[in-house]
This record gives sequence, structure tokens and C-alpha cells, in this order.
Amino acid sequence: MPEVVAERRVSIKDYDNKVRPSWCPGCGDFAILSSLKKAFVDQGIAPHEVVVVGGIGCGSKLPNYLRAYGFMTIHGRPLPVATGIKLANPDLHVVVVDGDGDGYGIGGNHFIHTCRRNPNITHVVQNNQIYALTKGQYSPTSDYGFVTTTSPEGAIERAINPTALAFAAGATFIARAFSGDPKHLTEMIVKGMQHRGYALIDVLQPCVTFNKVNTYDWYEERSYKISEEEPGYDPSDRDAAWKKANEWGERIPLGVIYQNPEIPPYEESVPGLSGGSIVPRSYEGIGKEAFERLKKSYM
Amino acid sequence: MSEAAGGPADISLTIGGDAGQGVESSGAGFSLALARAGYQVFSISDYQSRIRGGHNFYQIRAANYPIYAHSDPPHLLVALTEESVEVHAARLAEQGGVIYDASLAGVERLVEEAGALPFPAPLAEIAERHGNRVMANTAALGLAAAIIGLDLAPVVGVIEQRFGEKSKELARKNAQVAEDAYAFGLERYAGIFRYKLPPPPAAKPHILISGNEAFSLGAAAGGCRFIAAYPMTPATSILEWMTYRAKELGIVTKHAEDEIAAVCMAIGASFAGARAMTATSGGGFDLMVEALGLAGIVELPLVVVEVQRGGPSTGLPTRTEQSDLLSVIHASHGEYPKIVLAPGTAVEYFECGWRAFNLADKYQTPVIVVADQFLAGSPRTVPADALRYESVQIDRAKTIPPASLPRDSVASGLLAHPNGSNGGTGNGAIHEAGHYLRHAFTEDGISPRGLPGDPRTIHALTSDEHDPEGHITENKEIRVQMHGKRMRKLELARAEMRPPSLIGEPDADLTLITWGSTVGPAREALALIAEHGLRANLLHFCDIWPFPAEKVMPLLAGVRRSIAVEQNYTAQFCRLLRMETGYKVDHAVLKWDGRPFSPQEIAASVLEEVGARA
Amino acid sequence: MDRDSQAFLDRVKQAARLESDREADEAVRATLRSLRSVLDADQCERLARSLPPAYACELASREPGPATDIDRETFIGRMMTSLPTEALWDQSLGGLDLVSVPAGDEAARRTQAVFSGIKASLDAEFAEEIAGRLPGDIAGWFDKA
Repeated sequence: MPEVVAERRVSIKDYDNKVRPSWCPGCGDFAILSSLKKAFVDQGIAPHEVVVVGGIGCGSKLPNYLRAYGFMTIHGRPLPVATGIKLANPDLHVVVVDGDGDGYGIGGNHFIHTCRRNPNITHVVQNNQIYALTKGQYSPTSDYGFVTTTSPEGAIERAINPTALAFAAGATFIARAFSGDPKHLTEMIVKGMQHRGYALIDVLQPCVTFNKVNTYDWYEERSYKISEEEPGYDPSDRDAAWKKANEWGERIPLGVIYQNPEIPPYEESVPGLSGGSIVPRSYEGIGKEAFERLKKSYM
Repeated sequence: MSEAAGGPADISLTIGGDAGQGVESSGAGFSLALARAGYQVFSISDYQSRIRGGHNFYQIRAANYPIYAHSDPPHLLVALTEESVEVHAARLAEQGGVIYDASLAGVERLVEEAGALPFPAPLAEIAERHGNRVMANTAALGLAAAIIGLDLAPVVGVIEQRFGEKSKELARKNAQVAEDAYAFGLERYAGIFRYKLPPPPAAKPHILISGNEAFSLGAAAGGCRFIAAYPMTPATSILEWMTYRAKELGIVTKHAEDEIAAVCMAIGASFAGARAMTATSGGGFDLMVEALGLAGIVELPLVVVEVQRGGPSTGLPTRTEQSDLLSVIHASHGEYPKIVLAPGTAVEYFECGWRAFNLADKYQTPVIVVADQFLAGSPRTVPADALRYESVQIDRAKTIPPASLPRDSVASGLLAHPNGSNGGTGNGAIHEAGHYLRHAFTEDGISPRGLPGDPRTIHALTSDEHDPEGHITENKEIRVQMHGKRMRKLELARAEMRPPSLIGEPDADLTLITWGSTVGPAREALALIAEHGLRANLLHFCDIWPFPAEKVMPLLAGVRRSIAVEQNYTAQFCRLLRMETGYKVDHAVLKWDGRPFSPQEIAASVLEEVGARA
Repeated sequence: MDRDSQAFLDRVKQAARLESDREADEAVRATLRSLRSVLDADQCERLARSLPPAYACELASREPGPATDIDRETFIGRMMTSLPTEALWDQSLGGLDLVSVPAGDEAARRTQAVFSGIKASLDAEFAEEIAGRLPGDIAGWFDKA
């Protein structure tokens, strides 16, 4: 549970809006939505203090389904948009929600660079190992041999390993959760948000309509909580973390895989932010003195 | 353009050498020295897309009256390599001169074959005497100063400023090299060269600035506080200018991993309430196109600077062109309101720096400032009082200021009609049943914009079609209304777009039509054309989209014969003009070789065209 | 399968109006596995005792630990996955065109059918206890089963 628990001045109801999600009944995204709301409430964060940024996909519609600031952007681009929001107003809590295709495929380049950049944003990837909104194509995390409309003979590429990729790219917080265990998921989201830096939470999330392979049963059989099976696991141990991040298949670890609290978040080193948020300053010019000084440098 | 006794005069000199020899910095330094001596200066640089090798040159024009372009032919060549002589000597003005290191064998013959005057000097030797061979450029410039009659003091001043930052020792050595070469020139070549600088005009303060620098100054003055970009010639200097001064001015700058990240970061920053921009060239702009549509549909302000260069694809990375006009105007699939400005002078570019942000905030939509390498990179003198801080306005229109700012009256005015019961039917209410309507149907189509962090205006934006509250919808009535609301903003903006400016007398035989940076050389061409007895004037367009057709058509009605001057193959501006007004330009002078128009080139083409039809 | 388990299966099959044993079997297992999450270890053990051998093992296999707070969507998630999706390849727009898509009410129906089978061998008190553990409107399904 979080160390910082503000007095409970917000409740789940504050985050409810009347929009009925267009997700299929039974979709794992419902649990992710609830866990997200609960994570905000547990930390005492009010709806106007958080911005939820999505890309394109079933899960990326999440900002539409809760009452908070949100932005459903374009496919693969929520991470740079979120980074821009954070840099303009570092006081906002910024959470990115998108899927495995959006985040690890088309958004792959931004994923890699956001890992190394380490802005203080939380990235919840709704990983269902398929492209659901476009009705059933394979994704970067689909396992080898997965049959879909764009892989009718079975996928002939091997799956990406997002936790290992994040580790190699320099991410300072890497965790995995499962939508079938919402309490643990909430805990991971809170930990990620409390982490000062970029936090990746890869959430295993069954797509009940299009993915009949990676189901609730499939995930439950293979996943285990690191904290339960290896209570002595140290998430700051890089060697152990590298091994854990590479684990996939018959054994899928859940929990905090790696955390390095030593690296300061990106925005703390940005020269332009040394004077505080740039939003109020966008209402002012640079002042006549600075202007004349700059002009003079061209004489 | 040559000297007339006691009359106005201007001199052009070319510095030529290999990439890696410091042609650019030598040229920039000498331009500054001339500007400080009181002359009006206009310089262009010509370099290839490589780091070492390949011929580069820098052409400087100095005059004692206002100038708006470079001029051909140059009078003096400072040749740092034999190749420079091969390339330029034959193009010099009559009895032009060539400065070169005496040790370059074979050059004298080339110079004489070209009919020019040789000015050899032991440049490398002078350089080594005080420092090392690298300072040969400085020697060449000292000699050039002597030959054209420029006082050495400003040259030494520039040297001391440039090198003094690194080391006073280096500055002193370079100054000595310049002095020695200057003395050599005075002694050996005094009175030989017929092209000399006139006495400088009465001192009116001028600055020497390139287009990108002027824009950056205007943007910073105009409240720009965020830039994310990706290095791409010829736009990189904007990102670098701001990054260099980030802490001093409080601007957040980001060199992003690619152009898509850059434009998306700017969009994110804009959502949060910062005045945000990105800058790029054609290829980078292509990558940003999808994101433009995003900004358009979610109604976010965004400023994009597109500095055109030779296309298509990688094309001519360091050279100039005006071939992106139509692709910028039509950028992004679907339809959404956008504004396109195409400044032609450093002052216009400066103004666009802050105008663009005001327009973006007012219409809550992308504003694209289209420039080109010629405007962006050419340093030219501008009267200091043409860039006035007092003229810069910051108007954030219907942006609801954050509570931290003491502008509550603005906010309460914008947040009027809380809990209006029919916010969806266009009465302008921006709340409905306690829900803030980010995309409220207002009369002018512009809805008050709340910023994240404000408890009064919680909302989510979406790139899908949406209802006034911002929820995804496919309802056809709402779709029609919402799309109409956005496009209505375009009509409103059209009324605010400035008509073209008229340069010259209203009554003319011939009207040149320009957009963007061709205005400079075209303006100078008017005088050349007049020498042949033709009265010509110039219609220059800066505000391009939405096209102010109503303001333009009366002006076109008075045109007897039109000749468009633009740097592309397909006469894009002529097409735009025809598309928006039905007006067909009589003739187009086109150029697509990557080099900027010179006034002489334009005049020659115009005269040829007129002569052909006479 | 042993006779008791088969009888249980037949009851569920009839209540859910299903045509195959396999579908009914999947429905039972899906519901029991979801129940396994929301009930605590003790409740699972007690429920297992009232189920026929083939299905008791679903609850007996529960790992130790507290109950999981899953919402109603996650509860029916397993059932939704088990429902057959008939789809044809949409050759003009791409992706699978769902001809017969798992619907929430079909999941509700089958879940209720399983609940009725389970309730048959429970005392009212235990049944109420279980209902109290069910999320959202699923408690209502159990009551009406």
C-alpha cells in the first residue's frame, strides 16, 4: 500500500461518468478501469489533478469512461503527448493507457525513448496479445504460431518481450499485473504512480472475443506473484531483474520486476523548467529587458 | 549597382572554399563587420549536405541604402581553394578581383583567363607567422577589407568577440593576422580595385539577423514556452536558438526521438496550456501530418514552422525551394481549419513569431508558418526599430486561465452560463447539467478552453468525432453540427487574414506576384525593370490560408499584366490563386535549381517574357 | 465421468438449453473458477464438498490466500471466453466479422444455469453466504437461480 495516503477527500463516485464502455462483457479492461479509479482514490488524487492519455484501441478508449482530464490521441502516440503534458505542467499526474499494439508496436520507438528519458508518468499497457478493435490481427506480443487473420498459418515472428525491452532501454520501474487480480493490479498502479520516473505496468488482460488462447485460465495457470514465491526477491538487483524480465511462457511473473529509485525524473533536469510550470508564463512575454539584450546580440 | 561618383553604391564579395575550411563563419564574421561599420548587408551561403569537401561559398552584399536581396555579379572573390576560382572567377563583374594565396599555383592563369584582377598574397605565411595556417581565412578577410576600403576596426572587433570567448590569446593572434594582411593590401593594392565601399550612411541602428533568428525572437517575445523538434536542415537553428536560451528565457525545449514525437509533445504541452510549437522541413512535416489532424479535431492550438528546402524526398537538403505550398495547405486527411502564413522578410517572419500563437490560441487550431532556406538562413540587416517589443501582443482569447493567474474576471466571463440546460443547441452555454462542454456549440464556433488542473473544466479530448462534452459519438446530427462548428472557424479566420502588400506605384504596366521570400529579390528587380522603361510593381502575399479572396480580388482587378515569381516547378501559388479566385496569372517565372533568385535573374526573365510578347 | 457428475452436468445442460456436454462442461468449469476467486479458502472447501467429484476438484485446487475482489465483468470473463464466436473473414474491411458474437445475456443465462445446479445441494444459509460474495448483479442471478 502507498506510503503517501492523503486524507480521503475523493471517492470512486467522483470518477464515475455515465458513459457505458463499449467493451465486450467480460473484457479485462473493466477491471483495469476500476483499478485505475481505485488507485487514484487511494492516493487522494482528485479528478482534475490527473490526465489519462490513451492511443487508439479498445483499451485506449478508457479516458472516455472516467471523469478526469483525458486525451485519446492517435495510434501509438500517447507517450509523447503525455510527455508534453508533463513537461508543460509537472504538477499533473499523468497516466498513459494503451494496448500492446499501440504501445509496443506502432508506438515502439516512443516506448524505447520514454524508458530511457524517464519522465514521471505511469504507463498501463493493456496487453491482450491481439489487435481487438480492428477485429482480430496478431500483435507484437502474440506468441509464435498464433493464428489470426493476418497470420492464418500462425504468426511466424516471435513475440516481443516488453519487460525485457523496457529493462534494456533503461526503464526505472517495471511491473506486471493481471486484470483477473484487480487488488494486486491496483497496488501495482499505485506503486508505479508513486515511483518518481517512468513506470511500466504490463497488464495481462484477456480479450474474450478474439483471443481464445490467452484466456483467464491461460494467464492464471502460468502467472505467479514474485512476492509470494520469492519473498527475498530484490527488485533493485539488476541481474535478478534481467532474468525475471525475460521470463515468459510456462511461468509469468507478476509484481514489481525492477525498480531503480535513484534516477531523477526527466523534468527535474529540464533547464526551461527551473522557474516552474510554463503554463502561467505562456501568458507573458520575455520582458523588454531580455528582448533588448537579445536584439543587441545581433549588433 | 556599380559605383557612380558620389552616388549610392553597393559591393558584393564571394568567399569560396571547401566545406571544413570555415567559409560560413568567415562570411558571417565579415558580414557582421560590415553591418557594424554602418552598411546595409545581405548575405547568402551556399553549401552542400556534407561535412568535409565539396565547394561552399558565402556571398555578401553591402550598400549604403536599404537592400532586400543579394546581387549578381559579385565584384570580389576571396578564394580559399583553386576550385573556388574555377567556379566563380568567370562570373565576376567587369574587372572584378580575386584574392588568393600566392602559393596556389595555377590560379593566376585562371584569374587572367577569366578577365579578372589577381590579388595574390602570402596568406598562409602571414597566418603562420602569428598563429597557424588555419588563420589564413582571417588573413584573406583582412586583405579584402583593405581592397574594398572597409575600415579594419570593425573586422578586428568581430574577431575579438568571436575568439575572445575561447581565448584572448587566440583573439590577439587572429587580430594580428588581419592587421598584417590589411597592411599588405594597402601597400600592394591600394588604388587598383575600382569597386570600393562608399562612406557609411548616417548611423541608424541596425541588427544583422537571419530569418530563423528573427522568428525565434518573435516567438519568445510572444509567449512561446515550449518547443519540441527534431534536427532537420534548415529548421534546426530554431530549436538550437531556444535551447541555448532555455534557462534564461524559461522555455522548455526538447530534441525528440523523431518528428512524430516532436509534434505530439507540442500537442500535449498545448493541451496542458503552454504556448507550444515545433519546427521542421518538408520531410519532417510529412511525418507530422497525421498529428495535425489530431490537433484540428480536438481543437488545440499548435504552431508548426515548416522551412522549405529542395525536394522531393531528401532532395537538396541545404538548398532553397518553395515547393511545399500546396502540400502544407492540404495537409492531413479529412477537413479541419488550419491557418498558413508565409513570411517573406525577416520582419514578417518575426511578426509571424507572435501572430501565429495568437491565431492558434484564438481559433484553437494548427497554424503553420511556411518559410524557406533562403529566408531562414540568410543574414540581413534590419532596422533595430523594426523589431519592437511594444508591437508584440499576447492574446490567449478564449483560453480559461488557470486559477493561479489573477484573471478571474476573464475566467468567469468565459465560464458564464453554468448549468445551462440546453448547451447542446448552440446557445453558447458551456456547462450542461454540471458537465463542462469543451466543444460547446457557440455562435463563432470557438468554445472556451479549460486547462488540465482546473476543477471547473474537467473533460477528455478524443480524436474520434465527439459531442460537445467530448464523448465519442457517431450520431449524424451531432457530427454535422460539430464538423460545421470547426469549419466555421476557418471562415472567421479568413476575415482576419491580411491582404497582400503592394510594393511600388499602384498604377503599373506589370505586376510581379510573390509569396514568401521571393519578395526580396523581386522587389529589387523592380528597379532593374524600370531601367528598361517598364513600370512594374509587386503584390506580395504573406497570409496564404484561409485565402482572403475577398480582399485580393479587388487588387487583382487593377492588374494589367501579372507575372508570378516562385521557386517551384508547378507554379503552386498560381494554382492556389486560380483555385481561390479564378484569376489566371499571365506568366510565371519559375526556378527549381535550389539556388535563390537574384534580382538580376528575375529582371532578365521578366524582360525576356515581355520582350517576347511585345 | 462418474454418475453423479454426469447427472449434475445433465441438469445444467438442460437448464441452459445447451446441446452438447462439452459446452455445459465448459460453462460449469468457468463458473466454478470464477467462484474460486471470490470465495475464501474455507468457503471453497465447503462448496467443493457439495459438488460431484469431477467438479469438486475445481474448487479443491484453489491456492491459499484471501478472496479476490473481482468485478462482475471479470467474473463472467471466463464464461464469455468459452462462448463460441462464429466469425467470417471480412474481406472488404478486414478483420473478423462476428456472425454470432458472445452476448452478455448468453453468459448470464449459462451462469444462472450453473448456479441452479450448484444451489440444488446447498443449504439456504450457505447459499446466502455465497450470494454475498458475488459482485454486482451476479448476486441477483444467484438468488433467482
